[in-house]
Amino acid sequence: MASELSRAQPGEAAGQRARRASGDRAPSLDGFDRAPVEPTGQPGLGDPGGLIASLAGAPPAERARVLTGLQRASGNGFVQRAIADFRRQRGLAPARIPRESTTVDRVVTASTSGVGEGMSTAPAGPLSDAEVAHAKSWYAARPGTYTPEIITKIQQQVGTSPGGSIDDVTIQAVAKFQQANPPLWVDGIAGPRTMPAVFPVGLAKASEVQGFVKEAKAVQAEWAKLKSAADRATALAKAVNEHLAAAGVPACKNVVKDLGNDSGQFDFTTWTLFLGQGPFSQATITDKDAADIADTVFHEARHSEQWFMMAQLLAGKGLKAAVIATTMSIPADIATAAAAKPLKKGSTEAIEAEGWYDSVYGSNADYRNRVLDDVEVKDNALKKARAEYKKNPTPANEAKVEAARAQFHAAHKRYTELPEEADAWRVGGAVSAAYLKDGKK
Amino acid sequence: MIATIQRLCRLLESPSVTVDSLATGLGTVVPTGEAGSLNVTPADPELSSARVVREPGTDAPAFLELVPREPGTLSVETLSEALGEYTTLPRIHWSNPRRIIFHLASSGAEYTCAVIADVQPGPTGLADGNVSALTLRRDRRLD
Repeated sequence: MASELSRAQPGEAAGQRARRASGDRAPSLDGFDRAPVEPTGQPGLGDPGGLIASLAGAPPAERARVLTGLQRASGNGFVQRAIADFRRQRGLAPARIPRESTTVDRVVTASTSGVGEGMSTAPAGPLSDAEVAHAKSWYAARPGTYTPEIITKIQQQVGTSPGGSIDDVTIQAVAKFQQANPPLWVDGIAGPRTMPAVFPVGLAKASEVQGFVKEAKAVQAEWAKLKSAADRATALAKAVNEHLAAAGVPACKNVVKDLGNDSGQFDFTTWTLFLGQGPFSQATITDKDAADIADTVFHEARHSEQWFMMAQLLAGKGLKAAVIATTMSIPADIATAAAAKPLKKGSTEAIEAEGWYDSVYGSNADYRNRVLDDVEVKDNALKKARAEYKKNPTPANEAKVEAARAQFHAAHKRYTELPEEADAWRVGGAVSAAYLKDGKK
Repeated sequence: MIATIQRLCRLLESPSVTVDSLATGLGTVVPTGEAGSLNVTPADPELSSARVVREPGTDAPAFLELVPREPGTLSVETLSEALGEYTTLPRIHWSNPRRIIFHLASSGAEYTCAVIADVQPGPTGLADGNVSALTLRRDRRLD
């Protein structure tokens, strides 16, 4: 299926990868949207600004809880108006709302910035008191996952004192780490997107990225001598399989296939890297295209590592290879290999794998399916708008194309924010960045 | 086509099947120079193309791909009547086709066959959809 934005369309895909995550983020995964949101009545509905004023002196956690509940109960519009009224009454400037924030983030940030200044108890960092309180409640709701041992490890990674309990300093330090590692959301929550970045394993390690870039450049140097698409694909697959082997992940088969504009796709059912006939058939290749192909191959190989870790996660929960193979629809030999190397319960690797598993097979799978379906719907709408414009190139039809394109990009962004995709895009993106950076030296 | 799928699955369950024997049992091999797989023009007129992919470092097949000649010639309903219950697979990429999987196993066979179908959904979803491609995977029996 031809697609508007595939991994093999260097221009737009690279732009998408480079772009920082913005406002319309996925619900119910990291952070705020899972916080308790039961509203405690709705005081002051006739005086929205007064309502916000009444919260100004409230503890940050209470303020955030009420605002979140109100936003759920009365809608974004009401809360936004309330904030605007309040700030006008206080003579405060309009709220500065971070582009990366969710609606709830905006509510909390907008309602607290400039309010009760001088009362802040949060240590210096990117988050407001309310955001810190939200993050704290997020961790508190997951004591089985965020044990003192895990908190200690997080604290060591983000450079704070390893006391083993979540505090404001740790949350701000996580937020600073996120700030330094875009496109992670800056919310202080070491959730399913942030954990793989804090604790890089396998292909996510910088040394693996650098090693693969070197090998991919060697393939590029031999590109013309490698006569066929299969030879080139095999050379790159061999290189990435060595990195998978170093990570303890079974090698992927590689098969050249017509994938349209795509350079590659991992198939977990056959444990195969399908590599694109078109991109690998080019007689010569530019640095940018070579970087994009290397990025794609690494991205797809990272998916194989994710799938293997998910299988190891199930093994760590005591499932036999036969059950793992059926549950995940992976080949029997892969399930057997995973069963022989289970992930230790409560380890950082297990937490990372759990985030991916929840997204693909578990509690968030329905949401994930809706996200994927939506990208497809928006892609079809864009194709339709383009066809209409081609037939009848009026300004109105051009505007429809632009609107459809914007909707597609928003939907695609939600897709790249799924935990397993966010991770693969980050790891693959590190390859293309290093590839092109090295080329400039 | 169902008869071909069932026959190929029985072949995949055999411990002695090779890439070459499977390919020649399927149709005429098309030379491509690729070491990892063999392209085949299937003898079954309902199939347009096929490919047998090798288990790396061996002569054994890992899986084979079949493409129906005409879209709509094989429905999910027909496949399900022949192969039994199926499970819907997650997609990795948004542009991937919807897929379902059937697990087949002859009792006592050393290997099992899984049939994975790419499905073009029908008006009400996958159940009344049509199969656009098939993958037959060979697995060593685990239970």
